[in-house]
Amino acid sequence: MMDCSTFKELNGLRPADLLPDEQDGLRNHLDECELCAREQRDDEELLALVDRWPRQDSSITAADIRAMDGLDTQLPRPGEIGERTERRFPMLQVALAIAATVAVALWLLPRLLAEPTAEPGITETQRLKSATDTTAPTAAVDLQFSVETPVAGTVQLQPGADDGTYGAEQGIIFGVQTDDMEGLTLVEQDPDGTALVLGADDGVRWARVDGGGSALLGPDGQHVTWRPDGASGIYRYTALVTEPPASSLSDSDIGALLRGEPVAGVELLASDSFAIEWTAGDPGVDVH
Amino acid sequence: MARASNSRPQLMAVGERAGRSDEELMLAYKDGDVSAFDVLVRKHRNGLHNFLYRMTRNAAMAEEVQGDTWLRIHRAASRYEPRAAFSTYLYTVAYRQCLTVLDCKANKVKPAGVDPEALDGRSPVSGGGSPAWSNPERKAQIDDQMQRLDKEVAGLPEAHRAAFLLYYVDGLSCQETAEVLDLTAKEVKGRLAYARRLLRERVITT
Repeated sequence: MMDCSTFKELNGLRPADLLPDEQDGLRNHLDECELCAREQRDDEELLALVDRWPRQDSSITAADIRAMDGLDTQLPRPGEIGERTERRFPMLQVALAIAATVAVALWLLPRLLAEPTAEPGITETQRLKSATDTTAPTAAVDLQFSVETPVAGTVQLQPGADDGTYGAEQGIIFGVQTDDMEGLTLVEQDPDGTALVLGADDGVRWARVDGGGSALLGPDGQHVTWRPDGASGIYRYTALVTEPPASSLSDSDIGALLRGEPVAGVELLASDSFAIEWTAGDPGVDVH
Repeated sequence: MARASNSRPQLMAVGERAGRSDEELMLAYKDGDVSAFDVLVRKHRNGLHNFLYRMTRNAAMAEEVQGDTWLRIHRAASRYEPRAAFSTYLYTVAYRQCLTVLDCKANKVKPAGVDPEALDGRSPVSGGGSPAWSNPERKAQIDDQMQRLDKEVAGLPEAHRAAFLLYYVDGLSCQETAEVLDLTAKEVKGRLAYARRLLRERVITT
């Protein structure tokens, strides 16, 4: 017979969210437990009340949304939004460019005067913070480092439990290399949950990060945790800050940069990398 | 206790492609069918607004978050892939937007309760009531319960409130609710049980 605790958890759920034996268990328990039967009646009253909750109407329309985006009736195609905005708001573009230039100048000038030889640098704040039981299927490691540069601001990289990269203020490159890339995909994962397969080239996967996150997905589309179960391997994570920014670089340029090859016309302002290495049968992980 | 889904789809006008699923509509929008987006917005805007309103307790903020939510979906349309139910996708975006706004405006959010003016003067029990609900004494009791329901749901911890609203008001499944909130289905069931117990004690059996 189902116990009262289980009954209380499952009672009130819709049949579609219950297994057949759970539905039977609920019915049988109701016949045998007066206390739970009373609670069930109260639950029904509560949920009937919820059904009658006053509701508001929203007047928002798709046209409002497109107006918010500065567009009218045309659906954006990949890469089109920026182009259309430029076409429709040339003066705004100019004004923004001037404002940005002034802001950068005001910000940069005192720094140039104070530290004329300062180079964009990386501040590595923290590497391995903590790790859960590394033998468990749900093992997670809270692993992160941050990159601080005048160009990109602070970039938090957390390729651990979330396989993500967060907080970039301007485009950087976040790359992952593994010994065996078969089936692995690095995708951009926006805060809104949309995913997009990004660049891949000869054993390297990368994302251009500009405020969203990146995720390394396995063949089944699920996030790869910080190490696959069982097999030995190594993940090499790299963050690159470039001028011009990552968003304007070609895939071949990015692939070359991640492999450590120079690219004409591209200046590498800052970079940092680390690797996570694991061995089959060894619950530990080596971070270097 | 078995309950039918209480999701409340909006009526669609003739010609609004009533036969297509949300995912098909979104794919059509991705392919350039602008009217498909109109249908999606019309279909979900009221449900989404009420979820956001119950989360933020502020009608204007709810509408602002709704606008941001649809804008994100519109901008990401070219990359849309139907990996999950569209409603899960929509509410995931909305919930995250909502948390961001609540974080930013924490000091401006009312501590509890709903904005009575936002209900447009509508009585909680107005319209469509069964005979039992139209009894004056019963109506007064229900009005009182409804006010307490507003207050107590608003006072639920954020994640419990979201789970309760998504599941019982918006009609998402346990699994869909779990995906929106980034929880397991079991965790969602636990939060729903907690919310039901608390609301039952404070709204029904007081």
